[in-house]
Amino acid sequence: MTFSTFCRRAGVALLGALFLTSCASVTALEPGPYTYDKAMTIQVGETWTKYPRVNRTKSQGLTIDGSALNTLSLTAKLKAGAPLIYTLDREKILPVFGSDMLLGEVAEFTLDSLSFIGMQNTTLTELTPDQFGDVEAVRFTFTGDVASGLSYQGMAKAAIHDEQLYLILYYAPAEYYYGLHEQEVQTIMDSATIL
Amino acid sequence: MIRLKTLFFGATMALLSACASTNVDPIEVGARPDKTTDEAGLWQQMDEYEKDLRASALLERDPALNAYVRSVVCDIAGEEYCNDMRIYVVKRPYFNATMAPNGLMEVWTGLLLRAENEAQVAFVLGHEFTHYKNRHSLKNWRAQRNASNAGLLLTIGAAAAGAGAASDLGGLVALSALYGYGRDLEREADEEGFDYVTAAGYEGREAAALWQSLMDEIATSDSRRKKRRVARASIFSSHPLTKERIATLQDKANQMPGGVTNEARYVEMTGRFLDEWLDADLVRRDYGENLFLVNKLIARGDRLGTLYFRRAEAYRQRRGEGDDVKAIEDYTKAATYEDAPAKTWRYIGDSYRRKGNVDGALSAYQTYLEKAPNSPDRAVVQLFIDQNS
Ligand SMILES: [Zn+2]
Repeated sequence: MTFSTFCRRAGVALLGALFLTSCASVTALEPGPYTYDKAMTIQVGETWTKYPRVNRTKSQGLTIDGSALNTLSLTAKLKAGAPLIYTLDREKILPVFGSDMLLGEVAEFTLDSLSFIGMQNTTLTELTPDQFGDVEAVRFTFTGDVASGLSYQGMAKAAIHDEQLYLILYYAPAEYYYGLHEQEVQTIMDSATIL
Repeated sequence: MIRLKTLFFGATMALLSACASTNVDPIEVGARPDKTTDEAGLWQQMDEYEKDLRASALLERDPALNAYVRSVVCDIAGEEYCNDMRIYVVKRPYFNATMAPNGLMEVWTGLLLRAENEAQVAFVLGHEFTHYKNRHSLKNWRAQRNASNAGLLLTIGAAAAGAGAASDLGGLVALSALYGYGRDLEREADEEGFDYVTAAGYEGREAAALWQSLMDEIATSDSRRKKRRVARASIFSSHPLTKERIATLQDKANQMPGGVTNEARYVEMTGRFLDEWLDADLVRRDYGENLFLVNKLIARGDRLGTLYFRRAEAYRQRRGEGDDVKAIEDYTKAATYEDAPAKTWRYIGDSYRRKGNVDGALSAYQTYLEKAPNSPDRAVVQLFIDQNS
């Protein structure tokens, strides 16, 4: 018995995971200040590759070694009722952001979104108070596995400003790759401000 | 993921023999197909798949649960066949079990969540065992190949691409050629499966009850498309879940003496996974079905702290009109039971905090930190307590 209509893989993609399309060109993001979507600024210390924006999301994917090895995504001005991810399968109902979420719930919403696209066993490992420029924020870390058994580690910084979500999310295989750019990502998160 | 080379090996095998017979005998205990046969090709594909499955994060590795599920399979299949089968509990929130020709059986946690007792699970496993014993994958493979060799190759090519893109064991697309058994083989699996299960002493009425319950669940789905498909009685293209199918099983059951359901043992073996399985089910975001499942379990009356918490979670995450009120009611109810997860108090605190009830929030947060002193969000909760007390 295989109810394949039930379990057909959704054409789901999140943030980094969706930048696989080869038709659109990727561009380099050189060290220095970067303003995303006229809404968020960060300071970048290494050269990142910027994937083309997918219009249906409020996110920008970045990577250094390829999206499977490290993914940094910037999300700005995500409105209430909007999902962080999108799916081609309209039957799927996505986790959506709510502007009345507390920041702890934002962390859960982020992990729910990752679970939705197939990360297994997502677990929040630490959630601490932080600042996103002048705005009250949280920093959190998490772990998860992909189906093949590879373990991932991640960290993120989130704030709600003017009822909209601002999120910087990083994840990479726990073995070697997470640590490889951890310091760079810390610096990016420390430097982030909301415009 | 099914590797390309094995898929092409399978495809080549298919071309080698022109028009093979679809009349195959049941598999013998300990049998392994001759290397030169198409059947060996099928087995090799599944051996590769199984290698990946063993490393997968999707495997539920709890020894007691695995031993329990295996014991149910062995009860209905008999020890000899059981020795030829490897049974894996797989963390997928869908109602499913699969059986591959090489003796690999997957039992998905979504099935264990939905079954009400051991007899219901046994029926599904008996159904799967019939697919295996009667070599339905081989029959099916040959039937498809006889229909069109060229078409098959195309299917394989497409399937390989699909599996690559999915890049995990969800390469189910690739397996659909093996598992889409069609109506006749499904009926055979239902009927023989039923016989195995009742011969092992289980209550036959549970087979129809399981299908009925699944139909009831789908009727509560948030997905209009899914409901429409059920209305056309064809939700599972390979698995027509029809009134006829239910009626057939019901008739068979009525001619049998009653049997055991082993509900108490089932509840004992699966109860401690309910929180995790219902949480995983919520990843599907079908709140209607999730609430149906929670309510069914609440009616059973066991682990109510966990279950009211789970229902509150469904309401909280659905974020519909009035859901915040329903959520806080259920969190509060959950908090009166021993088995309520510590998180219950965090959400009660969150809810008070949103409403501006600082004292209520403080008290709930303090309880939360007492119950879960090492919770990962401790610093954030403590900050609120420090700022407000
Ligand atoms: Zn079947």
